Amino acid sequence: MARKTSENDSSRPPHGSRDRRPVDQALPPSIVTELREIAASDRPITSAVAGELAARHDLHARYGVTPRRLLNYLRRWRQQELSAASRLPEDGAPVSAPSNQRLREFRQRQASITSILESCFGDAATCKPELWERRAYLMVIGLVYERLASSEEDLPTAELATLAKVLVDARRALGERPKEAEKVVQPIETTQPPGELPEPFCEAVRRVYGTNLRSPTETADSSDSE
Amino acid sequence: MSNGRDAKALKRIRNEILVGLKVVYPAALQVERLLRSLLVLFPTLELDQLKRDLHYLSEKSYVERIIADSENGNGLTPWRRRWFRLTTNGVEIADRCIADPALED
Repeated sequence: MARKTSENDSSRPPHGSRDRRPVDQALPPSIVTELREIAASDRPITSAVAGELAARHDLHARYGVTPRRLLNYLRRWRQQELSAASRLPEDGAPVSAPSNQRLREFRQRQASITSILESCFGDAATCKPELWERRAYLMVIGLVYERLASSEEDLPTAELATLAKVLVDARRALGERPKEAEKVVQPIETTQPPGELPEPFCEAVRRVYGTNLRSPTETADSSDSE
Repeated sequence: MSNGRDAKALKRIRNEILVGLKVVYPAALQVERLLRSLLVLFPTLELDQLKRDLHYLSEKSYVERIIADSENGNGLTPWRRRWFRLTTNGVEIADRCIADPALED
């Protein structure tokens, strides 16, 4: 049996006890309206949100509605809103696929996102459960992908495509420089014994690791001679 | 049972699932991330529909579920937090190197 609720409802449960009526009957209309608006919005419904709402309106003490119960109701209302949005049109026609133009734009956006992710994070290695220390890495990739895919208003697809092209060109330019250097510097057989690495590689190793590739024997001989 | 979607929409959604996973291939993607990106193109897409399509694509060996060590072994991980990635077959379908009549528009 539905009962009216109001701010001064004398049928409210005693202070701090649990009200077993449905939430939309236990709370005053003004609070129910606010909760319905939250359920109909895109705001994430989490326990933190429910706790904040419950604390702000003092729901447990005043109306016997716990944050947990409020959370369950918010999620149920959210599900009802989503179900209502996906209900079949009144004429019974099924939900149709997006247009080809729309699909082309989406695919272009996906391609741009792929280029950007590769540029920013490198080639994503194979996901293996035993390497779960990389979970944060994968989570970041997933979050960036979701944000880029869904932020069409903030970041138009044309701008994403331009950024992707710039990043690809930059990577290509970086990738070309080492190859050009290797073409110019050839190992000189007269000055290096057979099997020795070309001079630029040794210099690169020395630069990076602060050492060289000579064998310990050679190193000792050279230090003795000095 | 198409659940209110015509055949064209069904194929489009399944193709876009493969394309979305291909963006991060060979890494995996959580269902939540995939769902939110697909909502851009299919605003009325629901999690239940996505779950069914992922089951279908898994049984066709186009996608596979990645179970992390930190996940519960009895399969009680919430669907939104499950990880999926493309298989090699899925990559070939997404790249249109091979054709599947059930997914062709």
